[in-house]
Amino acid sequence: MLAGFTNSLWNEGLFETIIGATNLNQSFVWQVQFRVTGWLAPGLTGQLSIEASDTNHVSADSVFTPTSRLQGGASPTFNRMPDVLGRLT
Amino acid sequence: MGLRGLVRGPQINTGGTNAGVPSQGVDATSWGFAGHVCMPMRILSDRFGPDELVGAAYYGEGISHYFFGSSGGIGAVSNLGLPGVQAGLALRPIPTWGATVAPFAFLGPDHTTRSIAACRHSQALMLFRRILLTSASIPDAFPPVLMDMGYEGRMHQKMHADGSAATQVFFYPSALDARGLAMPSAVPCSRPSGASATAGWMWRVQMQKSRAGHDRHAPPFQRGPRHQPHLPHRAAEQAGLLPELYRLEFRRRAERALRAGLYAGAV
Repeated sequence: MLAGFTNSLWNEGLFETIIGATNLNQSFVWQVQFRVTGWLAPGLTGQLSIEASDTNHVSADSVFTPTSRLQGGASPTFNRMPDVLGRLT
Repeated sequence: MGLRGLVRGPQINTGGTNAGVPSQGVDATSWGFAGHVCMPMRILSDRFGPDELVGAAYYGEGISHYFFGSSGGIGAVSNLGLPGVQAGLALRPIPTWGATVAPFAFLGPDHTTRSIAACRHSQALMLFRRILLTSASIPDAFPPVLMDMGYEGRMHQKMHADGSAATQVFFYPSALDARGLAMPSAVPCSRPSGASATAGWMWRVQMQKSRAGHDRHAPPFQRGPRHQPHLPHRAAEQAGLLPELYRLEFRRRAERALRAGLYAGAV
């Protein structure tokens, strides 16, 4: 089990390890999360996490995030749920 | 091989904002999946040795946040702010996809250890700890480390000692009154008369570690005459003075501190 601010479960890690350069699959996302890891079978590990993700959308006015401002007021951008991620390796 | 998937829930809610449209909320569902496979390049030719060909691909809608290192990270598009848009706000996740193929050459231990750290296997952390212990298993100062390894379908254990060792050498606290232990061929190592309680305790600890290091399946060290190992008579005669006892105590504390430090640092 893991709880805290760390690498997202989505982060591949594999290609960053191999070539150490920016590439198509690269991901650097760190975010607060709660993760559970289980050994499902010999050689098969399952992981499930819920992560507090940032979000955004682009519109005619601008790119909005939950912390940006619209016409001097609050942002209309929200996450209605935490991101749910899973991994099998 | 690995598979990944995720679900997200972006939303626009104009209530309490200065968007200039009636208060309304629009939900969307973002999702994505990705996978990678590793193919041994030995299939193509033995000249590649342990090298692997790695392929990875992903597809998703509204998951660009997770590719901020290689994209703008915009997850969705909205018609908010367009002329005439009042009650019909829309939020549409942006599709994104990609694929990568790369050869994975095992160039040296640096790549190998980083691969262990990145593979996310449940035993990777424990393996890394044991490798660190192996690299620090200085003969005489620390016990050797047994590493599990597979070879031709069977599991074996390989004993590692840093810098290698030509033979096994046995050390004991010379503060023990070895002369009081002297016997024609061998002497029992229980706390002898004349030795302090501390010396006897340390002796037992050292013997326990020695037995565990040499034979994983050895029964746990037990007190009692039947399980007490013996000292060669000549070695017992070479007993030193108190400073060596201090040296052993320092070694024991250093080992404990090193192990605690390694474990804490690796988490």
